[in-house]
Parts: sequence; C-alpha cells; structure tokens
Amino acid sequence: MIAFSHYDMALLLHAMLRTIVLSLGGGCLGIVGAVLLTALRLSAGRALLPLRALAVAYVQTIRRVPFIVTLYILFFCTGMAGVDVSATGVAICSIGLIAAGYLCEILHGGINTVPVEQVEAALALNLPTWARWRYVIGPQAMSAVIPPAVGYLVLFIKDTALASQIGVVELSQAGVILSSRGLPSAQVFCAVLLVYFVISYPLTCLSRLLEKRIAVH
Amino acid sequence: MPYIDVRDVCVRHGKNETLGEAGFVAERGEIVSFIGPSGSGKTTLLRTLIGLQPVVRGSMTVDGRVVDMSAAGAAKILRDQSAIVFQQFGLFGHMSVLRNLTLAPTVVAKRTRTEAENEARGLLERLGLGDKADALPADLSGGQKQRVAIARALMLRPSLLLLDEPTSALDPRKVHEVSVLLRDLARDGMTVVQVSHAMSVVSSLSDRIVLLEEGRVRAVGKGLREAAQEPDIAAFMNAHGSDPGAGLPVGQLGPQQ
Repeated sequence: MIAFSHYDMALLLHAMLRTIVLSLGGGCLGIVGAVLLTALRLSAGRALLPLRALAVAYVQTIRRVPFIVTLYILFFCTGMAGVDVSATGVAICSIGLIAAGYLCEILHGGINTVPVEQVEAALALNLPTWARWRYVIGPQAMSAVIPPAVGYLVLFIKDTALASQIGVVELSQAGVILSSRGLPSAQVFCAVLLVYFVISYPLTCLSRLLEKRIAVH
Repeated sequence: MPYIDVRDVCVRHGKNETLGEAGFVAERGEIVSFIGPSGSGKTTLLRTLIGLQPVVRGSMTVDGRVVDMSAAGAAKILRDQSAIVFQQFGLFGHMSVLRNLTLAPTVVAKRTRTEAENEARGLLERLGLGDKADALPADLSGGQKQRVAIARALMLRPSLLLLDEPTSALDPRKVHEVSVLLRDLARDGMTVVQVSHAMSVVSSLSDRIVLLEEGRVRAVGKGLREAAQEPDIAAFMNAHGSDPGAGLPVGQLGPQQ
C-alpha cells in the first residue's frame, strides 16, 4: 500500500475537482444546447426552416467528429482569434458542444417515442402547451431519455481525460504526474479509477431515482 | 336555424383535395353518422371539427356562434365546445384511468381534483369500469380502453361529441351498452357525430346519415326512413351489411320526429 503525501493528495483532490468542473460545466452547457437544438428541430413553420436545417446539420456533423478534434479546433481557433480563455474553459466548451449534439439526438428520439395519438388527444382536450409537455409528453419522453442520456454523460466524464491534451490537469493527468514522481503507477491509477467511479456512480443512482419519480403519478 | 351548421369545409394535402365543400347540419341532441368508403374523408371531416386538421376554408356555427375554421385561434374555440374519441383511443399510457379522466377537467376547466374524481368514478361506474379507476391503460382490453376514452371525452361536458368508430373494439353486448349511453346523452341535449363502418350501429342510432364519397357529401338522410329512400345511402348500407329500413333496436328515428 502506498502512502500519498499531503501534496499528492492535494494534487489528486484538485484534479478530481477539475474533472467534476469539466463534467458538470460541459454537461450543463450540453443540456442547455440540446434543449435549444431540440426546440429548433421540433419547430414548425417556414420562417424557422433555415434554423431547423442548421440544427439538424449541426447535430449530424458534431456527432461524427472525435472529441479531441473539436478540442483542438476550439483551442487553436480561440488562440488565433486572440480570445482570452483558459484551457479549462476551452475544454468545457468543447464538451458542451459535443454533448449538445448527442443529447439533442437522445432528447429528440425520446420525444418521438410518445405516440402521436396521445399528443393529438392532449390537443383535443385543449390542454395548453405547458400542460401537454408537463403531463403528457415530458414524463413519457423522459423515461426514454434519461437512461441513454445518463449513460452518455458517464461516458463523457471519462472523456474529460482528453482535456489533458491542451494542458488541463484533470484526474488522468494527475495520475500521470504522480507516477512520474516515482509513485507506483498501478496503485496510482487504481486510485484514479476509484475516484472516477465515485464521481460517476451518483449519476447512475440519480438516473434510477428520476426514472422512479417519473414513473409514479 | 340548425344548432350545428358546418359549411364548405375544404382540406388539401399538397395538390390533392381530401375534402371539398363538405358540410352538414345537425339539431341539438341529434346523432349524426358519417358513412362512406375508406378514404372518403369521414375521419378528416371529423378531425376538422375539433381543429386537428388544418382547413383551407370552412365555417362552423354552433348555437348561433360562427367560427371561421381556417382562422388562427379557431382550434381552441372548436375544442371548447367539442370532445373526440379517437379510433386508437389516445389514452395517456403512463397515467391511471382515473387521471386520464381528471387531467383536462382539473387543468383546463379548473375543477377541483376531488370534484373531478367523484364525477369520473361515477362515469366509470356507469360504463362498467368502476373497478378500473387505478388501472393503467395497458392493463385494459380494447373494449375497456374504448369506454375509458368515451368517459374521458364526456368529462369535458361537450356540446358536441365526436366519435371515430366508437364501437369498433366492442363485443355486441358492449355495443348495445355504448349505444344506449349515446342515445341517453343525445336525449340530454348533447349532439353526437360519429364515423362508423358498423352499419348496424348506424341504422340503430342515427338521426341523420351523411354519405361521403371522395371528400364530398354525396347524400344526406334525416332519420332512417328518409335515409332509406335516398338511393345512394340505401345502396351503400345494403352493400355493407345493413338494411336501413330495418328495425331500430336502440334509438328512435330522432328526437324531432
């Protein structure tokens, strides 16, 4: 059993917080982006057709680009444009951009699982828009959205490791630093693994809780 | 002046005219049946009456109040006075039967939940579903779902009840029970418009029969005797297994006759 020094523990803790910030920041940005993109995709009328097409094109493109490529593009573009943004900021934006595309697809798919005749029945009952979403579409769509969305967010917690490529010291990078200081690599990365689990497991529990709450009326 | 007067309803899908100059009239408390071959526009016409089908033009007068069906905001006005029972029921699968019935009355009509639940339980009892209040729609048979859908529509206390194939999932005994219920509702002043392929139900219930063909009203018969004398209606009903001149097991010829 290795003994982490105070400084090692501080580095690990700092890296854990950075990973949480990357995951939470990117995830929140992704959720907001996904809701906006989905709203555009579900919009009606000719006036919004160009924006609708743009939203579809964005979702189809971003999901085909590796995270690392998006990360580099954003990193170098902000650098070339002279935008003063930290590496962590660039990483959060990259995660948010990609998460928005993936989560939009999940959200859109979930909403489409609600049978058309139920949506029409809600319309025929004269339920206002908020009530149709609150009582009919939302609960049924969410039960189809939450499991894959949480699965995807857990996947992204792991992908935050790629942020180290632009100099962000997150959890995996902290592992590399600690092992380069002479600490046994296997044990260092076991500790890193444990921390990844501690971060992502509550998300899975939250998913189960949400699914149960949505199912109960 | 008729209680309901629907005129010149025109619906297009692309360049195809699904409904052209369709219309009908109905008195308060009448049961009107749309009949016609598949694709003749019966369901489309029914959907226009509750604002689910955009129309190119058309007007609907209910109790003297004229609604331009193609105007913005017409759907809400139409839905304020009507309720529909879909052929596929459209029950909310994640809600109990009771919540299916009380959702619109509590959210739209702002009735208290207790009041709505009491009324819903009474209706379910009347339709033989008293023990199904807490069941989910997935646990019900087709016939039970259909009766729940009818109960949900009635909870809105509509002036006009629209039914798309209301007895298609019912066995003969339940068909009779639903027919009696519809006749009772009509007697209480509710106007009922149904689309049906079940000619026995059409002949036993209808006060007015509207034959649609290729999106146009081909013939109208008020009461079975008149309908039986309309050659097109008589021919269609005979061809589909019912003699319009036969007996009337449930209804009379109409409240005004």
